[in-house]
Formats: sequence, C-alpha cells, structure tokens
Amino acid sequence: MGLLVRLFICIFTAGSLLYLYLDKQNDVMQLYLAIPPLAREVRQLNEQNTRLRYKLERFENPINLLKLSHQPEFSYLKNPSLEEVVIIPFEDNYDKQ
Amino acid sequence: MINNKHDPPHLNKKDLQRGMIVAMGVFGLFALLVVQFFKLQITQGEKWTSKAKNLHEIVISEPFQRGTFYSNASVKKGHPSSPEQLVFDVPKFHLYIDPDSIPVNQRDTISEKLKTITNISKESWPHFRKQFDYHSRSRRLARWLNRDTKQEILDWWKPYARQHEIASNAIYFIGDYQRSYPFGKLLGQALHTIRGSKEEVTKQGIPTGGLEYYFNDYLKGSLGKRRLLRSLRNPMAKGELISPPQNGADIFLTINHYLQAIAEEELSAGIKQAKAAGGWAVMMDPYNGHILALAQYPFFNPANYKKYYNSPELIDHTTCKASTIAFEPGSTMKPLTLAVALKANEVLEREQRPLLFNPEEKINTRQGVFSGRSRPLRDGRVHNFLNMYLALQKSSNIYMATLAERIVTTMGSTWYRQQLADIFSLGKPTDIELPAESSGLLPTPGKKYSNGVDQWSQATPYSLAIGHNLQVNSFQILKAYSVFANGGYSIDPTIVRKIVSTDKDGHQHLLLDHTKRDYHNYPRVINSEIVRQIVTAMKYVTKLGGTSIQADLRGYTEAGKTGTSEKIINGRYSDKKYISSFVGFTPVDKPQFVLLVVVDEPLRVYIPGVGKNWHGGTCAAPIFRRIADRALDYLGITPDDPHGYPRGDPRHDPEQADWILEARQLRKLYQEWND
Repeated sequence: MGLLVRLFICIFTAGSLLYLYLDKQNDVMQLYLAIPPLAREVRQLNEQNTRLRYKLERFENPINLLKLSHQPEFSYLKNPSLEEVVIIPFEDNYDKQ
Repeated sequence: MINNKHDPPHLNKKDLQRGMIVAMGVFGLFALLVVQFFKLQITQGEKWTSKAKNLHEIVISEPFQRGTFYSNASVKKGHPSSPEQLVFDVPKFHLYIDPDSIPVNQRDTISEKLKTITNISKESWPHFRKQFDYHSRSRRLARWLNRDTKQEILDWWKPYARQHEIASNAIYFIGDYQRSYPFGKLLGQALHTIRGSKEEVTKQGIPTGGLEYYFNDYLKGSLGKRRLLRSLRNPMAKGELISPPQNGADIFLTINHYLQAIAEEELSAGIKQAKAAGGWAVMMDPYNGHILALAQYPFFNPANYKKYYNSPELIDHTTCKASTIAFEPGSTMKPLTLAVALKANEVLEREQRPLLFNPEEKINTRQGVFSGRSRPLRDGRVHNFLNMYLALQKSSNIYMATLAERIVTTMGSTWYRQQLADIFSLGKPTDIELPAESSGLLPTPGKKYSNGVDQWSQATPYSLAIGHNLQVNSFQILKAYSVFANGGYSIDPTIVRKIVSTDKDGHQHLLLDHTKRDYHNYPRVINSEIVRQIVTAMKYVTKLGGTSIQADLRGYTEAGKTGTSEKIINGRYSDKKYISSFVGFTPVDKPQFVLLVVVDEPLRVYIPGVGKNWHGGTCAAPIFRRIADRALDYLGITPDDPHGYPRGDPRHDPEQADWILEARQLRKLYQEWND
C-alpha cells in the first residue's frame, strides 16, 4: 500500500511539473506567434509614415509654395527682415539640475 | 550425466565465452550508437541543424535604403527648420508569381484580374500573360507597386486561392525601395537618379550621373537577411530578421531649396524672355564656398529620366553645364585683368620702380592697334580717354589691352600668366563635387594646341585681358569673383555640407564635414586695398552710364560685370551664336552671395529702347537682378540702399540712392574727356 501511495505521489508530482512546463511553453509560443503581426504593423506604420512624409514634402515643395505666394490671397505674406527677428540663445538647464 | 531438477544449470567455460562475446557485441553496438549520436548531435550538430533548417526555412535578402540627399536649412538666419529631403527611398513592391503552382485553367482569370488591379498598359498585356506559361517557380509580373495596390491584390487573392485550392504563395511580393523626388525637377541636373533596374546580386542602384554617381560609394548600402518558413500555407509573410540591412550614408548638401526654387523660376522666365537655347545660374557664399543654388534651364526631371535619355534633343539637358561646359568669359574677365595690373603696381612699388598705371590715369583709348595682332581691337563705341573706373563701366577692350601690354612689357608674359593661375586659379579645376568638371584652358607659353599651333603668341595677352583665348567653367568664375567679395581670399566651392552614415545599431558617424569652413583658413591672394579698388570700379557697371543698368538691384547695393562672347563652333567663332553672362555679388559690404547667370545662345535681335538682346547686360543682367532681389528678401537682409528703387516706387529718391553721386561725377568726367 505504501508503495502505491509513493508511486502515486511521484507520478502526480512529475505530471504536475510536466504540465507547468508545457503551460509555460504555450505562453512563450503565444508571445512568439504574436511577434510577426506586431512587427508587420510596425513596418506598415513606418511605410505609411514614409508615404505621408513624401506627400507632405510634395505639398511643401518650394516651387509649389512660391506659386501659392504669387496668388492674391497670400499676397499679404512677407519674409521677415532679420532686424524683426529676435534670436534668444537657448540654454539647456536640464543637465545642470 | 544425470539431470537433477534441484541443481542449478552448470555453465561451462565455452558457454561463458559465448555469453561474453554476445554481451560484448551488444555493448559494441550500443557504443556505436552512442558514438553516432555524439557525432550527429555534437560534432556535426550545427551542420545537420542548418540542413534541417534549410528544408523548413529559406533565407531571403532584406532590401536596404540608398542614402538620402538633404537640403541646407541653415542659410536663413533666425529661421530654424529641418533640412528637407530632396531625394529619398520610398518602399515599393514587385509582384511575382509561381507559375508551376497555378493550375492551367485558372491562369487566364488570374492574369485578367491582376492586369486590372495593376493597371498595366495595353502594350504589356501579351508579355504579362506569357509569364504564367513559363515552367518556373518565380516570374516577375509588375514592378514598383505601392502598398495600396499590394493590399488590393492580397484582399482579392486570399479568398480566391482558398476557394480554388491554390497555394496562397503562388502570388507573392518582394519589397524594394524606389528613388523618389518630392520636389520634382528641383536641382535635377545636379542630383540625377538611378536606373529602374538594379544590380542583380547586390541590388545596388546604378546611377545615371550627377551627385548620385559622384557619391555612389557613400550612398550604397548592403542587403540584410531574413528567414522565412517554407509552407504552402505561409504567404511569404515576414519572418525573423537574421541581419539588418545597412543603409547608405546620407548627404547634406549646401543647396537651400528656396533659393534653388527662386533661381529656377527666374532663370526659366529670363531664358524664355531672351528666347535663348538655355542657361544656368549658380549662387555661392563667398565666405565658406557653399553653393547655395545651382539652377539650369531647360530642366531635367530625374523621375522621368528615360524620356530624356531616349531623345537626342533632350539628352543634352541632363548634364550639369555649370561644371561640364567651359566657355570664353568675355568681359567678365576685365576685373581680373585690373586686379593683376594693380598687383603689378604692388610689386613695382615694393621694388621702388615706376608704377604700371594709376587708376585715375587718363589713358588714350582711341586706337586699338597692338603689336602681334593682325586686326585692331575695337570698343563697343569709340572712347577717347578712359580711366580704370570708366574703362570697366564702359567695358573697354582697348583700355584692358593697354594694361596687358604694360604688364607684359614690365613684368613679362610668364609673370602675367602666373598671376592669373595663382590669384584666380584659372586653368585648374575647382574640384567641385560633380562629375566631369571641365578644367578650362589657360594658354601656356611654350605649349601647343592639338592642331600644332602655339598656345601663347604675342597677341595672347591682349585676348586674355578681354576674356578671349581662354576657357573657364562657371565654378572657376565664382571662385575668382569670391576673391573680390570676401576681401581677397581664394576659397574652393563645395556643394556638400556633410556626409553622415548610420550603422546597424543606430549610431551616427560623420564621414565628411564642411560645415565649419571659413575663408580665413584659405590663402589670401590679393590685399584688401586692391579688392576695394576693383569693387569700387564694379559698382559703376550697374549704375548710370554702365553696361548693366538692368542688374541694379531694388534697395540693395551690388557690384558686378557683364560678359558676351561668340561661341566657338567647330573650332571657329560663330557670328550668330553667343554665350552671355553676368556675375556679381550683393550687398557690396558683406556680400550674402556671389551669383553668376549664363545665357546660352540668346536670340540675336535688337530690342528698341533696350539694346542688343544677345549682350549680357540685356539678357543675363535682368535675371541676376530678379534672382538676387528675391533671394535677399527671402534671407531677410535689410536693404542697404533704401532709396535705390526705380521711378514710380515711393521709396525712389535719386538724390539719396547709393552711388548716385559717384556715378554722376564719373559721367561728368567722361563727358569732359570724350565730348
């Protein structure tokens, strides 16, 4: 009887440990499977970023902006003279604190 | 022997031996097994693992990005902004099929659908459909598709493949990067592009010319590696990145995109107005040599390079003529002649010898006969007497030749030629970072041309003095005039501010740095007094009585000179085709830039009330004025000639405009000497 009990306890312990190990493996695998879609999403966001940046640059093309500046509705815009611009030297005090 | 059941079996020696042999045999087999396991798992473990991996996985290349070109955003003071990307790589996709995986009865349907989505041109349909019939695992169908088109194809393909039980990776995409130009044709001839097809193995772009070619070694990157799972169900989705790609280095140019756009806009308008074949304009900072704008018309749009290279008429517009074309500078040479003459004075004064000339000296310019010349020199109109300031204002050939005669007589031909080479670096390339820079030509005593004629003859100095018998490219002219603009220093032009590479870990490395260039670190070639006298003379050129009134800026001071020369066609001067120019700098005190405008083959007509259209003062000077006016306004430079505006402008005040008194005095002097 004692032998049976000991055998049962051993099998139970081994089984539990195996179960925990497999469970951990499943968790790891789930994370592993989640990586490609996330990486794909990041890549797609980067690509979209590049496309938008390209569109923005096309709109902000100086040739385009100069054409717009010739239009009557933008005729009030002027380039400020250097005398009208106040340049304040910036000191980064963050590191000093 | 009687067998007794209670006795144990008796093993004799032979049985024992047999038993040992069997046991040893079994043990040996097990030992072999263990050794084989050890060999396979330990010593050859890596080899078999990689073989197994190759069966389950494939490794594909990960594309890299070619280096980006950035503009210079630091030119406009007090206006912080980031450098703009003039050229960069945009992610695109190539469409491939695995024909062997596509059933024959589905090919027509699939190809029709793909044709519609990708919007293939009608001429390409037969070739497109033919790819499906190849016995192959990979055929390319379409190139440079954007993500939206790719997604549209995938959205249709996945359910279709599932429904018809076709392997989902029978259609797949390979990522790539395409060179893109958000600013279109801006700076086209300088930037250039790369060909649509890349190198097969390394996937490097093949440059067509310009900066893409010159800096190809910096711009190149290297492919990375990515591991994918071999699986019918796996639609070639991205796997593990084994090694990241190494992108090319980024190049920060000295070109400011707004100044470039202004130069291009005004240049194209001016060239059309002059009805010329083309032209170019180059703007340079005389204090650090940075090229701020490099415009050329007709334009070249790198995104449509095939159209240009397939046309005999358009291919000419793809070269950057500011560096590849050397031409006779004509009268723009005259300030350089005066500088050499004043330098001769300096040497003679040091040696306590009589001076060559006095800038105020009244020199007879009625006749242009010089020894060694078969024909007399002539001026645009007859002037009896001129001094240095009048001579430059009226662009007198005879005055300049007279000075050249004195230089050669007093200092010698070799000395004269040496000064042109040493002070202004004529005949030497400037090493601007553009391919195929022409070094120009400065004739050398004792050397011969390819046709056997001596480069230097008795008449050569007179021709050189008025800008003929030599050839210069536009950067050489800018470098020479920068000497006058910055107070006497010879600074090399450059189109690159810095080159930065980013390694795989994201760390940046500065490969080249021209951001801290200063003219004081360059040789001083003439003293400030000579510079002052030359600049004073140049100021008269754009004022009352000068040849370039049309270069007189609104509200700013300027100094410059026109030039007009006959083009050399098939070794002879043409009397119909000219190359005309204006070069100057502004404001005179602390110039923001030196600007050269060149008009190629302006129409040879006389414009009533204006003058000869083919003269630099008529066709090139107005372009200079318009570019310079707008550039100074953009830079926020305070007008230093607040009354120097044309009639009709409320700021116009002829009594207070800069240099008006001086110009009137000079005109009075001219009238005294010549009327």
